[in-house]
Amino acid sequence: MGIQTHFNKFHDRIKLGRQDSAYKKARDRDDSIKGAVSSAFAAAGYPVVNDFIQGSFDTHTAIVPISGDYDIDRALVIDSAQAPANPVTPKKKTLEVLESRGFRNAKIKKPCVTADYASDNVHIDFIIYKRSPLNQLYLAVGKEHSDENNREWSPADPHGLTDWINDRSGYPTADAQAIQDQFRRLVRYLKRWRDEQFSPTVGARVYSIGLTVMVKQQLRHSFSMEGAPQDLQALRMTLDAIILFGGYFTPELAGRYRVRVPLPVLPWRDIFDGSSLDTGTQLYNKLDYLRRKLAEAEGLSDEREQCRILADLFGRDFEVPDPPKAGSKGRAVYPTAGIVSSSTGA
Amino acid sequence: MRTATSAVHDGVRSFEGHGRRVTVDREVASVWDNHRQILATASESFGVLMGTTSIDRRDIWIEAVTTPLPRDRRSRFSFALRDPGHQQAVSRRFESSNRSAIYLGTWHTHPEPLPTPSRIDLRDWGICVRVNRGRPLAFVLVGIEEVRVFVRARGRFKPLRPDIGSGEIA
Repeated sequence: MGIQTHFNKFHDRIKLGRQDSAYKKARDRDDSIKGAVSSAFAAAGYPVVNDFIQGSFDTHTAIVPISGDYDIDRALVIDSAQAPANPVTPKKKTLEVLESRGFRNAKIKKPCVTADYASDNVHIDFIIYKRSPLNQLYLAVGKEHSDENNREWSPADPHGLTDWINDRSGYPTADAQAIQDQFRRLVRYLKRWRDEQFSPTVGARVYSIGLTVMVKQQLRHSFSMEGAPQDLQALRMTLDAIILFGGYFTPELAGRYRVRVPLPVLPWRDIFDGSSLDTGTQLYNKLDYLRRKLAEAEGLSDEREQCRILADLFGRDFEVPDPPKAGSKGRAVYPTAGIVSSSTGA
Repeated sequence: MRTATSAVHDGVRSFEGHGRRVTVDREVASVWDNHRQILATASESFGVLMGTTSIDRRDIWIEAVTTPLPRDRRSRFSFALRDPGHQQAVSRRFESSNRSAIYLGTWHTHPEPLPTPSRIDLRDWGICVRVNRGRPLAFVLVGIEEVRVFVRARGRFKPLRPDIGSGEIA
């Protein structure tokens, strides 16, 4: 079999696509609430001119949540000519609609309006953009009571980010698809690892997009001579590069680390901007532990032992196969019985 | 008083690591259980391991063991396997198994809860490996609370990990 078979099984279990039924239910909720928010925007004089789902479906890096909570990043675009000068205005409007429609914990955050659907495990982030005549998008940034200095329509490029992640022009043409597929699997492995290894509070701050950008920039793909993927090796080498050469982690006092990952597109800001030293330190230490354990697994020849290490890292969806039953294998035949030496012991 | 138990006693009869998996027959496990040096005056018990291996040598099945014989030497802290009966048992089993059941190493008891090999043990195991090239060997220490299985890996003897939950094999 080989360890890749087990990675493939793991990947099949954690990958989430648009057609996944649990996700479809979340999307139904999203569709109905999107309609209500759009109507409210139209009534307020700034109709929605475009909408899209932001995030990991377009980059094929979505995973099944272990919490059972489905996240949707719902982007709504209004025309810049009709958009209110204050970016918080449409966000407040969104909040009103969400609160009247049975969402709980509806809250205006700096880059979005976030809410949990009361009856289902659906969590929706509404992201509001305005679009200039030149098709430039500006993100509505600001909290409910932010003053003029803390709110803005900030240039952003969500489609450019998706394109950047999906870009395979840097790979050799013949292998580009295989390399990109391996990249997507590595991102999914790391996201599931994050969900398993961090507390929910800290894990929520280890942003998926941050992991994705690091993997994309430091990707070390790995295939056998016959062209078969070697995800274990690829992941370990990529993590080595992230830790050793990525420049994402800056040591601070007392063994602590600051993590910085700049967006590769407009507005080029740090994805981990404002994140605590605690987040940076935990992420560094856990990534370092992960790469060491992966290296340990690489050095083993026993598949079950390898799987056991990997299951500790990636959780129960990484399956450890049962030992073969005694008698199910043929017995070796030997030329001699073996010699009992006159053993001594203590 | 604390009740003495052993890993084997608790139903763990499979040990893994370093490219090997050693599975112990139920009857062998109960022999070890009965020979644990729980009493302060008990002598060390010991014997040879016999059984079969998979074709790829990864699996080792310990199917039978010998126990101390009259011409062996035993005390509380040492033993010497001198009785020719051990070799005879190995040879008989080999012939009656179509040459698949062989000598697989030795076992002995230690009067400590979690047994660790002494220098004498390690030296002796090294000799056993040297005179039995071309076959995988295992060495078993039966402590008061735990049974530990060692194999040679990269020039050293290393303990295998008890495989919890494997008690229902066979």
